[in-house]
Amino acid sequence: MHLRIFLTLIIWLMATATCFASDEPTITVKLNTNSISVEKAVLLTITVTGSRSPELIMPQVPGLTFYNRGTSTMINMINGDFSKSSSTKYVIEASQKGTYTIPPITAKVKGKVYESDPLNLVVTDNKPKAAGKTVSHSSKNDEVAFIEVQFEGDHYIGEQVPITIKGFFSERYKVSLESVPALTGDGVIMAPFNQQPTQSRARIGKQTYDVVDWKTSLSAIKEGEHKIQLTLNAAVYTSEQTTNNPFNDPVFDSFFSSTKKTPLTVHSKALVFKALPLPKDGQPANFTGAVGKFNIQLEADPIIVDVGEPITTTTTVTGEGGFDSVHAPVFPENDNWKTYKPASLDVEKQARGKKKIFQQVIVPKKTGIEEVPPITFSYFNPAKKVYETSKSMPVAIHVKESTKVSNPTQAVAEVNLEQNKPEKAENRTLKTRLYTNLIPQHLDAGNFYDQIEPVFKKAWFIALVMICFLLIIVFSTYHFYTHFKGNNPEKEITRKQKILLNNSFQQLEEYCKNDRAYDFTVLARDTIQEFYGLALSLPQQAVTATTLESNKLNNTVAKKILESADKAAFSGQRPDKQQMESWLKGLQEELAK
Amino acid sequence: MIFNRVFFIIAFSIFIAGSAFANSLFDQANEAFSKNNYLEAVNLYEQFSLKKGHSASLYFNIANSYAQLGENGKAVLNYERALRLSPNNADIIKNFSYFKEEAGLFLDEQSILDKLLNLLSPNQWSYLTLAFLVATSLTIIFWKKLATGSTPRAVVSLFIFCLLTSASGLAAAQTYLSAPTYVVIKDVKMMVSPFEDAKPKGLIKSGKTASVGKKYKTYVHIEDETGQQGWVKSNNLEAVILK
Repeated sequence: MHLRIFLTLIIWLMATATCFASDEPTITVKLNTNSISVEKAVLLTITVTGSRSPELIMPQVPGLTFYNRGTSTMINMINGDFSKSSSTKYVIEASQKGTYTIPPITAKVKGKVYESDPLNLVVTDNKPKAAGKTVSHSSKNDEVAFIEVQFEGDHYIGEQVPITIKGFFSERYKVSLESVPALTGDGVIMAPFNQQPTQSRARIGKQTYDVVDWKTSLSAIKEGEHKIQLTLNAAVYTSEQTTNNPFNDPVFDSFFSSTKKTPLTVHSKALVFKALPLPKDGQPANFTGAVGKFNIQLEADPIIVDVGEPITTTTTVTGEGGFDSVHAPVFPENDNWKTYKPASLDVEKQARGKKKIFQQVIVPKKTGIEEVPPITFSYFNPAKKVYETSKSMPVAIHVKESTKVSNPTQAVAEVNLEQNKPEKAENRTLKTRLYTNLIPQHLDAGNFYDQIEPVFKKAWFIALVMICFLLIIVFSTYHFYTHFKGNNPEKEITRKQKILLNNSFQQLEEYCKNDRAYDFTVLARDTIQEFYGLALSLPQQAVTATTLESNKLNNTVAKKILESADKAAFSGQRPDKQQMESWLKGLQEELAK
Repeated sequence: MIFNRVFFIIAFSIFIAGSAFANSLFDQANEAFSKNNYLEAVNLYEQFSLKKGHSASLYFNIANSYAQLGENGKAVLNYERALRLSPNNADIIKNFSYFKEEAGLFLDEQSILDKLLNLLSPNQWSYLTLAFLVATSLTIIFWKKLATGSTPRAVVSLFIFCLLTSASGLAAAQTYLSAPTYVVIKDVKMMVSPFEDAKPKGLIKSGKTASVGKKYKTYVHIEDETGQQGWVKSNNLEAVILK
């Protein structure tokens, strides 16, 4: 009840508010940007306060087209004061570049005219991207789909050149992607796509495209000008009329058509990827081919050791660039140390970039060594076009006199036994845990299987399924046969009942005609008992008036006849002819049902 | 009689000793792993597998060892094998996800249908299909008894069992067909054609899963999980299911 009053009050307040709100209307106009290119559109928002349905008169501006995108209305209540407003949106497209002035927009509210301020809009030419940037898009299949590839400037061998591959798919077609872009061409390789592509929409000319944006990098493996092209496999789904539309109405076209999938291969325009050789001038002696921008860090473990005891150094190279060409930094030759061949652990892609870790076993040959010397790593920086060298910090250590063995090389022989094994095994000997958050090993090996084979390929499974299907087929056939081919017990009972009634009624009619009351009563009783005996699956003698009563067959002629037959057996009372005719008629109607 | 008994005792002793030796291999492998001696651990686990067969825990341990060795391809391969045997094992799922993320391998977002299908393994779906098929058979065998009580109930039961049998059968097929069949065990260049001097098409990282199509001499045509296609040498791939 209270709720109803409250709601009524709210509705009344809203209704009256719209009537009594009487602030002077105002009109404001706003563009979401004041500068666009020819291909782009700008959003114009016209807000009229004090009215929910103003009449707007849009100006005509040569070169600009206004598209209405709808009106929304609003009622606000602030500190008990009501206000109403409407907001109309227009999308403006420019057909050519220039500086446009949109004249004041007029709004008519209750016969009065209100004007907005004029607006300025600058439309620039849709020029290609900045100098040095290569942009390519295909011409073939342009109206359905095309590929645009962007990468910047000239580049050096081994340099990771970021590229953006944009696939444009016209929104007028239903297109599905069948593959990621693939590179064709010699001398250049493309890094795999490790990120999901982004999706957006773009309007080019009068067409709207769904844009799929992949980011990866290209890297030249030899110098020269390499012709490359990117290819993308897609499929276009088109609707085909398979049968005539009987309604002759386009609404029903989809019911009478099917979808056809047509493969579509989209190629980018052929591009030239120019790979410059690395300069010879200023190339450091320890340069091993790394191109990019890198930093180096050095760690050692343990830092308190005996002479001859091995120390594992971990050198981490981080940064951006081609990690394939990053090789283990060279440990400076030194009489104080015996060194073993370094090994790369792995390249891990981190959130901030990439890194490569190397480990090397070094052995101090004498006491008094206070640090593991710094390690340097040289690389070519393509952005600055110079060779640079990154130097790690030294690691302070303490080397004591050995208490165990006198020969340091012998001491490490066991530890580094694996390093004398073939090249492939070297990585594996390093005792460093790469993944620290793995769940520990299972201590129980669990259940064993002979094969990793799906169970449905195993013979016993197939046999069981076959048996089930066989049983289903056999029993379904049996049930079907018994139900429909007359071997049904219910049908059999009905059949017997019909025969019984046919024979009995003929005889009863004869007894009735000849006024043989005793015979009539006996035959009628026997017929009823046999009839219901069959229906209720009871012996004939077990069917009595009480049986019929317990089976909800009260007030039936059959019950009366059975009762009369019982009485006749004790008292000798017999029905007259009229009674017999009535019973016969009633019995025929009753049992025939 | 005495000869038979002696023979039985010797055979039994050999069996027990063999079994104990095999189990000790597993323990030795675990010990090697705990000492960060991953190569030895892998060797011992693989010896153990040759003697005893395939188990999810064994493949899980092998995968962890390969992960620590930095052999991404082998690690993925053994995690996949472990998942084939025990698809809902939380340890395997957790380590595999963590490893893939850390190793920078492609993590595909599963759809709701995929998540639903992956609740059970192809084997579990198969068992469920068999159970429903048996139920369907029993419904038809005892049709008369069921239909005597209530015909609609019998019809509804049959319909539901048929539906469940079909659905679980389709789920079994889908989960089996969508599971990765091959794993790239070494970083390898994809070629446009199956020849030594063919043009490279791109690099495929170890640990990526792929399906194999045509074969030509030592080359196979593959499609990786991102849809990238090309020819690679077959020795760079290893099948998840061992023949």
